[in-house]
Parts: sequence; C-alpha cells; structure tokens
Amino acid sequence: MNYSLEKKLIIIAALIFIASALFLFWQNERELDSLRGKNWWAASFAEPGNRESLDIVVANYSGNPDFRYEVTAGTEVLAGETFSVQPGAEQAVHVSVLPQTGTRTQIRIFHGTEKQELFREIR
Amino acid sequence: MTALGEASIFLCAVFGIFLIPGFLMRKALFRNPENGVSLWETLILSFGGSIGLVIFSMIIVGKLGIRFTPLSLLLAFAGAALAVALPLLFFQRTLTKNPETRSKASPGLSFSRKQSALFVLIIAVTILIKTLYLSHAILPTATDLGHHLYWAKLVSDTGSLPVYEEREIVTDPSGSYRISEPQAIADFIIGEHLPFSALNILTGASFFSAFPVVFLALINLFSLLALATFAFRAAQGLRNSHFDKKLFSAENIFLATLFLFGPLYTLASPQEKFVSGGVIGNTFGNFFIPLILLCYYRAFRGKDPRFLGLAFFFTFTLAYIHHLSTFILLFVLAGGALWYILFHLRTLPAVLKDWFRLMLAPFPLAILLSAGLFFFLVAMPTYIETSAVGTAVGTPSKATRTGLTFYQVSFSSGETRVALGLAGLLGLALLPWRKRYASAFLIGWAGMLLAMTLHPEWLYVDIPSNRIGAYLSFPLGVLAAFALVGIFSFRSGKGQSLPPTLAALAFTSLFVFALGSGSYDNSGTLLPQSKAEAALATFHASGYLAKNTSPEDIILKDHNYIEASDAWMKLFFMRGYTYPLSRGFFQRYEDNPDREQCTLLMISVPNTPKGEKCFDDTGTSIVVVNPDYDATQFDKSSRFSKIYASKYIAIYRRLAL
Repeated sequence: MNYSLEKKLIIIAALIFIASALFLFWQNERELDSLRGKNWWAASFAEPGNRESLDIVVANYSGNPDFRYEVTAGTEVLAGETFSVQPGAEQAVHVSVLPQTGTRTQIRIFHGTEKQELFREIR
Repeated sequence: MTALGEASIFLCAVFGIFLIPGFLMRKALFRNPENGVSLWETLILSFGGSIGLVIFSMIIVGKLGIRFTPLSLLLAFAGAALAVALPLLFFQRTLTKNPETRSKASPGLSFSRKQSALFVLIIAVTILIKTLYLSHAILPTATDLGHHLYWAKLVSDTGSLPVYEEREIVTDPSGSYRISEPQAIADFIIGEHLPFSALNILTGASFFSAFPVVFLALINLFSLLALATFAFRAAQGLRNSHFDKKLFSAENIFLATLFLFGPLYTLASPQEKFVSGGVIGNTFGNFFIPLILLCYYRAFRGKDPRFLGLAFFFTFTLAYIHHLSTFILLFVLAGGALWYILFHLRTLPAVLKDWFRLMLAPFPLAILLSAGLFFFLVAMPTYIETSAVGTAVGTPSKATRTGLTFYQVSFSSGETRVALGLAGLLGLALLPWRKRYASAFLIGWAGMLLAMTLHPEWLYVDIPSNRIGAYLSFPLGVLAAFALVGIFSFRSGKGQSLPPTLAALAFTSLFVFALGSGSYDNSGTLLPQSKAEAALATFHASGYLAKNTSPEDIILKDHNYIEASDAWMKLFFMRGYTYPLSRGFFQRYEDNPDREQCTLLMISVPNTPKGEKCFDDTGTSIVVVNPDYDATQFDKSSRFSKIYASKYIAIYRRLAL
C-alpha cells in the first residue's frame, strides 16, 4: 500500500481546499462590507411606535453624503432641510414639526436623483 | 476578527472536532498497519465517525441538562471519542473477532505518476469551479439555509437542545383566524443542526459568515471521495479476465468517478446548488450513503465485523440527520440484498448463515445494542416521535409524487451520466459477474432509485419524485465511471479489443460529449451576479424591526418578491420559527386551497374585508414588502403608516383603531 503517495495527495487536496476556504471567508467579509461596491440607502422613523414623532434615521451606504428632507401634509409644505450622512454611517435627524391629525403627513427624503418617502397616518 | 483569522479558527475546529474523534475510533478499530484500510478510507471514516460522535454526544449532554458551552462541548467530544476508542483498544480481540475474516488485506490506491497528476488536476479544477460558484453565493441568502440555521442559532443561543415547534394561522369553527399554539414539526431533525451549533459555539463564528456554506462544501467534497472510494473498492471486486488488467484498474475507476462528479456536473443539484442553497440533510445524506454502502460492502465481501459495526453506526447516525436519505438507504440495501439472493438461491442457507454469523459478531452487536439503548432511553429522531414515517409510504397521493419521466431524469442527473450509467447498469446485470457483492450493491443502489424515481407506485413510495430523483445521479455516475473505463478495456473471448484508432476516436467522442454536457450543466447553474446589496438591505430592515418591535408585534413579510435573504429575517428576531409570518409562493395557495389564506390576503389585498379581517383576527401590525411590487396597496390605504423605505424594502405599520 503506497501510504506516502496517498498522504501527499491528501495533503495537496487539503491545501487546495484550505485555499478555497480562506478565499470564501475573505469574499464573504467583502460582501458583508456595507460600502464595498454598494450603492443604497434607507430612511426610517426613529420611533416608529411614537405617533407624535417625525424624527427620522438615515443609513447611507452610497458614496454621496448629501440628503434633503421635506415634510408635507396635503399640498402644504411644513418643513424642509438639507443634512449630510457620511458614507457607511447612520444618522438620526430631528424633524421639528408634528404629524397632522386626520391627514397624511409625508416626509420625502431626497438623495441625488433618488427619493424615498415615509408617512404617518393619524386619525 | 479578520476573515482570515476567522477562517483559520474554523479550519482548526473542523480538524479538531470533525476528524480527530472519528480518527481515534478508526485507529482503535483497525490497529494493524496492514489492516486493508487505505488513507482515503481513513479520511472518510474519520469524518463520518466524528459527525456521529459530535451529534450523539451533544444529544446526551443536552438531555442531561448541561448547557452547551465551549468547555462542555470539548469535554463531551473528547469523552465520546474515548468512550468508543478505549473499549475497542482493550477488548479488540473479543469485539472484532471473526474467524472467517479474510486475512488478505485489500490493497489501497496505488497511483502511477500520471494518475497522481490527473488526480491533482481533477481535484484542483473541481474545487476551483465550486469556489467560483460559491463566491457569488457566499453571502447568506438561501431560503433553506436560513430555515435550518435558525434552529442551529437557537441551540447556540439557548445552550440546549431545541424543541421543533411552529405556530401557524388557523381558522376557528366560528370562522375567525388566530395564530395557533406551538405545534410539533416533523421535518427538521436534530443531527442537521448540531454540527453547525457546535462550530458556532466553539469558534464564535457568526452564522452570517462563510462557515455554514464552507462546511457544507467540505461535506460535499467528502461525498465525492466517499463515492470514488466506494467505486474503487467495487472495482476491486469486479476484476476478471474479460477486461484489460491495466486499463480496468480500480485506480482508473476511482479517477473516472471523480471526473464525472468533480469537474462535470459539479454545480447542479445535488452538489453545489444544494451547498449554497443550504439543503443540509441531502448534503449529509449524499456523503453518508456511499460511505455506508462502502462499509456494508467491505463487511460482507471481506466478512469483516468491524466494517459491519461501522456500517450500523453510520446508518444510525444518518437516521438522526436526514429521514429521506435513511429511507432511501433502506430501500437500496434491500434492493442489493434481493439481487444477491436472487443469484445465490442454491446456496441461500449458507449465505444467510454467513450474514447472521457476521451480524452476531460482538462488535456489530455492541453497536446495535448501544444504538437501541440510545434510541429508547435517550432520544428518538423527531420524525419517529411525531409518527411522520407513515406519510412517506403509500400510493402516490399527488401529481408531483407519481414519478418523473425519463427525459426529466436525464435532465436532472446529466445526459452523459444517465447514458453511460444505464450502459454500466446493463453491463453489470447481464455479464457473469452480476453475482458478486459489488454488482449487487451497485445494481441495488441504481435499480432501486430508478424504480423509486420513475415508478414510485411499484414500491409504494409517497414522496415528491424530484426529491428522490436528486439521489439518482450518484449511483448512475458511479456506474457511468465503470462503463467509461469498461468499454475501452473490454476484451473479447479471443483477447481482442477495439482497434486503437477506433478506441481513440470513440474515447474522444465520449469525452467531448461528457465535457460538453457537464460543462453546459455547470454554466447553466452559475449565478449571474451577487445579491449582496439586496441581502444587506434585508438584514438592515430586519435589524431595524428587531430593535423597534417586541414579540407582541406580529410581523408579516413577503417571500415572493423580497430580493434576498427574507428567510434569514427570523435570525434577527429569534422569536419563533414562523416569526415573522410569511406570504409563501403563490402556487402553494393555489395548489392547496385548504391552506390558510391570510398571509396571502394581508399583502395582496390588505384593504378588502377579508384582508382586514385577517389583520384584525391575527393582530398583524407590521408588513414588510418589496416596494416595486407591493407598495401601491399600502400607499393608497389610510390604515397604514410607512415607517421604513429603501429601494429594496418597504415597511408599513397598521394603525390601531
């Protein structure tokens, strides 16, 4: 039985697998990196259960830090402001107006050519 | 910790807990260096043995009420290895004694330089193709993997064995809907999850890291080695004067098997697609089935009770990992036994006497006794406890269970493997050496699976036919390797073979056919691009909800259109297997009208009376959808606030009246 040859072949196969495993762990880390090759962002209410709050949190995983929000109720613009969120960061933004009862209060967040919208309905 | 550090710890842990315990067992069992166990066999026996010891020791520790910690697990694994190895060392002569064991050792692989180079080339290309494919699927997005790793994470988080339960929406006699009390699930089996929990607890590696997929990829590689090793041993049992000794060598069969499973068809089901998809049970099953067949084969052919004991141990291990694989294995073994008996009717009493003598040897008996004690006193597999076995036996009850067409079989198993595999099956069945053990195992394996896949009603099998069909490529591939090598090494009665030019032309044609078919299959499976961004967006939304909701908030998400990883949302909450609720594939609601419809109605038509009743009755307050497909119905409603928005995910909260 040629043990030494078998050993060598097993070691070679193991080394190839180890190289593959190292690469896949490294690749997984890169894919989990929120900034690497990614371009998206998200906006959310800071306190989703608090009907009185319009404060928002913006998570920015794009290269552009510039944002602007606008609060409207029906056709009326209640507030608006520009703010910046560094790439890879999440930032809370205080919105000083309160949601309007009986109508939808919308917050539009603008980022370059993109737009996301949050709204609260209070009856 | 960096990825490379994490990978190094993972690899050390795999070596330490998934090779060493089984290696100690194998070492204690086969002490003589000239024991006929090759290094390849040592490797796969050590891996399989370790998996069994890890699973059983964790079940015992859990049943004793000891919390799973790195220390308790290490002690348990070391204890399990010693508990098996020490008695074998001290009582080896008694336990493994069988006067009829053939003393002549079975030679191991003996590659020439060319064969060694070919082996390295095949392994390198195989791992390269697999790695390229997995590099696009290494981020956790697969649905099945998410479902399984919920349970593995639950074991890690609680430090105890899980209770497999789920809650679902049910309709009361009054017509109102509610979320049920927890009900037992038969579909999950503890052995699928404990190895992942053990790796997580010992290494601290996140379930979102590469470790689950890399571990599954390793199991898949071991299954290739188990297949090739089984083919190698079977080839040793089929040597005869009709084949050119040099060409029809067991080494060439080993390499041909690796070739047909390695570079070719390496991505499609049941290989890398199952790995990236997290089809854990099948992936384990595809390793254990050839390993178990190898052990039974070596036990019966060599009259070696040590291999029979190992075969019993691995069969018992598989029963705690995957029900379908165990079910199929039992049919395969029965098929092989029937085939062997059919050609030994004249000497049947002697054959049966041999078999019983082997089974009643001390070591197999000790394993059977230990298995029986474990089964009745420690833990039964979930599907036994929930009496789910009966659901797999009977006349096929659905259209998806009435068998596949031959075209579907050749498509799913690969045209080359099916064509050559059937040629190999026919050759084995018609030629004189069909009486041998090797033929019985190969014919039993392929024949049973062909019958179960094409005509399940013959065997009274009531299981989705495509699930059985996924197992068929393995025996057909092994038989294809025999056919590939056999065709060119066959000699007629006068010692004549194919003229060299014709043989070269035929071989080239077959090789190109195999390469074309196998590579086409691979290219069809390669993922076009990574879903990393969509997956991260889903994870971000899940983290937001986990932080801003409580277990009392009922959440519903969509499985049809959320781009990636929605099955992984439950790992952020850890509030139950069916939390959040899920709108499943539309087809499932159509196929099964008795299925609850609320999860469909609450997303598709939330503002209709039926949809609103579902919301009111179940208390569902939050809905997670893809904004490109399902936002309009919520945006137009005055009953919802939109609390989260990204290009991948929109979250709505329903207003309480």
